[in-house]
Amino acid sequence: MEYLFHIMVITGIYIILTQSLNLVIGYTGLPSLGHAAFSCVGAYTSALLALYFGLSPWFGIIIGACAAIAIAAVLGAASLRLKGDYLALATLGFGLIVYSVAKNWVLLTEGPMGLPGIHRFSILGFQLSEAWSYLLLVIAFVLLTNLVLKRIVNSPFGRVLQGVREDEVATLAMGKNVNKYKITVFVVGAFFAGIAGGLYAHYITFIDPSSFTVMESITILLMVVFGGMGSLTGSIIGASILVLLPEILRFIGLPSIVAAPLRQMMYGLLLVVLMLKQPMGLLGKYRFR
Amino acid sequence: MFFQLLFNGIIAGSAYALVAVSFTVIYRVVKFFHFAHGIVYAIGAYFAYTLYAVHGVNFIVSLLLASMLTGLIGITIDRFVYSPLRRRRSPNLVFLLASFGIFIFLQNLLQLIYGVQVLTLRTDPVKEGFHFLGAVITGTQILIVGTSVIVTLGVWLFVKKTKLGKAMRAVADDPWAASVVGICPQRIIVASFFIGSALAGAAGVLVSLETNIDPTMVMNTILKGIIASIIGGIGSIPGAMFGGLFLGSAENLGIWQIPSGWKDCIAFGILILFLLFKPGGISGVRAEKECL
Amino acid sequence: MNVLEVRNLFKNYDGVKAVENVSFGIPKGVIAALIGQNGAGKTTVFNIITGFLKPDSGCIIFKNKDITSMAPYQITQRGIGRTFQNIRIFSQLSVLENVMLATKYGHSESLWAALFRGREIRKKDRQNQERAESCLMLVGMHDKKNELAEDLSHGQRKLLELARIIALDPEVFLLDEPSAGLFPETISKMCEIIHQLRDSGKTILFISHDINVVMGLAEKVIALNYGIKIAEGTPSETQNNEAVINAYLGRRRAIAP
Repeated sequence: MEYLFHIMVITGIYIILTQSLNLVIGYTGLPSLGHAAFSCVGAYTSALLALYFGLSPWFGIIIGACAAIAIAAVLGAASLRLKGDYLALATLGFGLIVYSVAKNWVLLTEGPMGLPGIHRFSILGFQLSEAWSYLLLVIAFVLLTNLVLKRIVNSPFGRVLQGVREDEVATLAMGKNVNKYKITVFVVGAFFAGIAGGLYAHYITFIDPSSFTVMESITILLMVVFGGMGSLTGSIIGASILVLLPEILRFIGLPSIVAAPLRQMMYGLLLVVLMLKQPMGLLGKYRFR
Repeated sequence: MFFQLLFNGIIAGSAYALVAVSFTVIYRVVKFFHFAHGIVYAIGAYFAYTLYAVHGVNFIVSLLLASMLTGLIGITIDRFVYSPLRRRRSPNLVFLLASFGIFIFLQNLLQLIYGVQVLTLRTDPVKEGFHFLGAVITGTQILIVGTSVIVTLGVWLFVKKTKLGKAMRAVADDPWAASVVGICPQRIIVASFFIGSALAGAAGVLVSLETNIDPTMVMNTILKGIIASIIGGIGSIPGAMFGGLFLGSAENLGIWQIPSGWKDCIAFGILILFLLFKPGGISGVRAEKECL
Repeated sequence: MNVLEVRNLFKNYDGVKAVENVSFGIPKGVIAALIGQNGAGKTTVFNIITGFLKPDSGCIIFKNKDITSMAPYQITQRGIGRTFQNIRIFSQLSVLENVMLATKYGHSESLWAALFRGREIRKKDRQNQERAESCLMLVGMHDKKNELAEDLSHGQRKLLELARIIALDPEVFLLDEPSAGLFPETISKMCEIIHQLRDSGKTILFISHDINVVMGLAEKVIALNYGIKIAEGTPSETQNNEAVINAYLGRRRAIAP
């Protein structure tokens, strides 16, 4: 039962990551391949504030998300003049720079050793150390994220985002400041990714750079594509299935040394099959051929 | 110290150059970043390892067989994944994602088969290297540098002088026009995948003589190959070599005063700088302008 | 008074003189046509006027303000709207949504509004939708309002672009080949709409290859050839202009002095 709660917490965190990436790539069409970098910044910021200053996670994750916003603004501004493949490559490189910093700035982040002993959330003095209590917290955040993102995509702002995705030039010709929208969307996506990172840090109580690799970013991207680009509901389903399904491998008793690469192989295969057969994923509204 | 770092840079750069040149051969005709190229590099090394270190097959034969295998794998990837996507005229992002999917699949397959053990083809004890300008360089390292120069030159001449090479240039320039003059773009693409992937496999074998190759770091290798190609001007073969050497030197000289773990950061920092300020690379290859 | 003025435009592309010392003015409330052979520089001029291209030298004056260095979105906000030669629509959005994007929402299209001004944007969206639907009715596309723009035929797409620019309600309309590929009935409808726009005080400058449309619609014609302006005047003046005849028909070769 504990185990089930644990899986659901992880699923919740991935739902937040998937939906926030969907905003950037599914609705706005910006190929962001470094999303894990934002949750990395959020996680480390919150963890360090907790470890060095004893700051409550409630504040920690907000500040962490703000730190993620800061670097997203930089990335966003830099990315304005890049298109397509080159933008994808730049975001990938950016994600790798953040990972590299986390791994090498040992003075700050303890490098590959990671940061252990991060304390958990507590509400009114009651520490959320049980998985079920944490699950409730994560569910609350998932609902909040979903609410906010839904408001955004169903608004005039959201319509402009889709215009940017469909035809940037035409959107400019409609009098919209496309650059401003692009940066804003990167920032919003990063904010929620930062929150997700903070939630992760204060749950596992240990973080190290290996949770924020390129593979992580690609996995989140797979969840977006699988669930459907441009569908927030699809992201919920996509993330859930892709977190739960590999757990079945665990149940049939495969040793972790086999289960881990097998899980990744499933992801890789799914990505290829999706691209060949159903790039729109499960609920994709955007005919992404 | 400086010369040692420079030599290290040239050696690493030669490895990057080999990856970059083989990558460029393919990029020119398909025009997207075929990330899966990185994994055939590793497959070449692992296959040669199985033949040479495990079964004692002659080294040259292992090298040739490994190259053949990776060449065929390259063709297979194109046949079953990229070709259908091309027919459907998918946007580049679809190709990119499919490429990642292949990469992840094959990378983990390698890990399943060979385990996480790091392998090396170095079966002889580490030999004393040559002393030159106050730095040490081994025979193997000279071999790698020399090979990369020969391969680059060979590929460049091939593309420039041979009939197939010219056909490849035509398809790279304009597949439609090429087909009008009787060149079959699909065949040229298949040939490019074979040549590029075979070269990558061979490069993997050679480099594994010097360093350890493990599946988890191959993503870095292909990325650096791509970075090198961009530095030298994407699509340019001599540019790929130059870019590789530039990158290798920048990385190794860059860590003079700082811990060596920062090499990757330097490489990706250079990538971002070039993408932002000189996307056409040193040679200033012009990116396609959008028509209004 | 000229609402739009193009002064001494020069634009070079790798040695090809796309636009060479082109100057002309469009008075307010006039329907003008920009004609010329393929490659004469017409779309280049449009791109420069609307800020998508920066000229090597020269300037664009709109309502007595120099707009040459402005960004395309700013120029649109100031009152110049355009359509594109190779139609640019939002394929994966519905016809209605395409037109609903063509409005001056301003603050309502911001993130802040999306998060905190729900009631305000709902009201704006209702008004916007009514407006978009009336523009669609004007061009006869109202019954297709919920269709995906991608599924439209070429002619319907052109009408959609027209509906969109009407919804944008700029002071100056720059239409790039508005009649290209349209059926004759559609063309006459389009001409009718353009007359209505002019009657309501708008200024229109359009590019066209269709000599009938040019003669029937335009009150002023500017002719370009190889990037140089060769004529500027009424349609009949232009029709009888020696240089224009040479450019189009090449019958009498002009002897260079």
